[in-house]
Amino acid sequence: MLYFVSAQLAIGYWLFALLSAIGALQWVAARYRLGGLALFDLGRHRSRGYRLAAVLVLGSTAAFFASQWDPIFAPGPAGSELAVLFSASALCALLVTLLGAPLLRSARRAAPRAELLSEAGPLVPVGHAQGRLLEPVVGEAVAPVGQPGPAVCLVPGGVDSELAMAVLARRLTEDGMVCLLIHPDPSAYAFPAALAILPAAASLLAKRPDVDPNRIAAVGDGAGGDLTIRSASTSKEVKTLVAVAPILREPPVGLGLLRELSYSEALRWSRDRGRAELVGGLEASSYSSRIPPRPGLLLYGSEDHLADKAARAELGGSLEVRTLPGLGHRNLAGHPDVMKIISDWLKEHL
Amino acid sequence: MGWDWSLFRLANDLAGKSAVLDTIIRLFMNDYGCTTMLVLLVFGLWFSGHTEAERERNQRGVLSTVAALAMANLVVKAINLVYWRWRPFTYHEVTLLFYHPSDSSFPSNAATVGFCLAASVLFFNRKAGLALLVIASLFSLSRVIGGVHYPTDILGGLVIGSLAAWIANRRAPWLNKIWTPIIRRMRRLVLA
Repeated sequence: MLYFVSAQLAIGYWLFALLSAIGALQWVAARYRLGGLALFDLGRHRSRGYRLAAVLVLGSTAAFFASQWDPIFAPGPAGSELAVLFSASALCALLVTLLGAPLLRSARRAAPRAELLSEAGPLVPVGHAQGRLLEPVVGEAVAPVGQPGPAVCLVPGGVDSELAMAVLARRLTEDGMVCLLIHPDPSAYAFPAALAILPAAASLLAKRPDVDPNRIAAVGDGAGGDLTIRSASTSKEVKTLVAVAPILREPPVGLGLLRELSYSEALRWSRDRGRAELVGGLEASSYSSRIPPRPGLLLYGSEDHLADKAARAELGGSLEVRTLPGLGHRNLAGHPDVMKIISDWLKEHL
Repeated sequence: MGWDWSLFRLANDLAGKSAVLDTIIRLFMNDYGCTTMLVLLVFGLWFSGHTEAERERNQRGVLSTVAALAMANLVVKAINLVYWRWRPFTYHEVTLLFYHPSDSSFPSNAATVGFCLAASVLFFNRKAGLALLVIASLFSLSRVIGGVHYPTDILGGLVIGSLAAWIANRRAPWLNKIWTPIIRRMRRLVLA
């Protein structure tokens, strides 16, 4: 049986070990850039992680010794009791960190609003998939009034990506482009059926009287970027393509995912067999060299830990690769700098 | 042993001379401060590593450290069953900075745990291992100065802890076969 001698001392030690363990995790998060463990803004203020760690470890130590000085030097819990208390503290520290990090991150950064999608309009059939059509903003058209204009098919990689792409689509409509935002339905995104999405989208856009069939572009994000590259290797309908952070090769499941994702996102990512099979089946890096000569742009964030860096080196063909400093994988397509680059690229090449 | 007692006297004579020094010794010798820092470093190592390979090496090392600690504690329990040594304060006039521990003086539990953790971590992470070695040494030394252990108790703990660490890290390759499925399962939970 465990005998803790003094409840006050045991609780005091548990708190001391808990705060120290949270501090240790913050040091690790700062040192190894594990954003999923960071209770601070890792992207902007990495050094704050070290300071937070020092404050938690030293502060909790000082508080424990100051409040429990006399009981500490009297007979107290034995080694087995201390081991139990420390294990409980470490487990709680891990829970606090894994749950607290995404909450603080969402409080710091406003994520794209889910209502953006419903504002974008109802889903329309695009082959076996579905998508939302976004009309160009009147008066801002790139094409002369009354003439067919450019159109863009946006292929997101998943639910989060769909929201980022909705932000991008809204921006592109302001440039006078018709946008078709594909809905990343898991059943439609299965390989090889997903290969039919882009041709179907291009066909749907080409039939519109306000779209010039020779001015259709494809923009893909994440796994959608892989799909865009692979589809562009066979389709002739797309005049230019932009792939934002295509994954190319699945990253290994493990703690490394916390560099980019929160714990719950990492768990979802690791269990998403559909995406893993899609990316594996698409083999975007090897198919990139088969894309017929046409302007193509690949965008990556320098802090992207989900897209495979080694596979990027294998990319062939005429694709231009740009790396944006300080940006990661998630919501890259919705970042203002990235949206400007895509917008400028499409204006130039469509 | 004469030299053991002489060394003990030399160290214990430092106690009781200065309130500041006594407080510093107490901060190191208690059951909570150093042990928590030692275990905290090992806990942090589980999550450390710039690459998957480095992280896996650390995680295997941490698991081996836990095994070494269990092994060392078993050895200490076994020794306590067959050999009993009274604490220095039992039959001698010493300056005691701590309460009266009631277990056997040899081997020192504190030294066994401290040096076992330090030696085990040294096998796979030199920097962290050296940091642990410094903490374990201060922890052990303070126990002699504070009057609760003879130097040979510390030496005994050092030998037992280091041997357990060596066996777990270098002489038990079958342990790695046990760690592989554990790490694989933890990876699926994004915890390794």
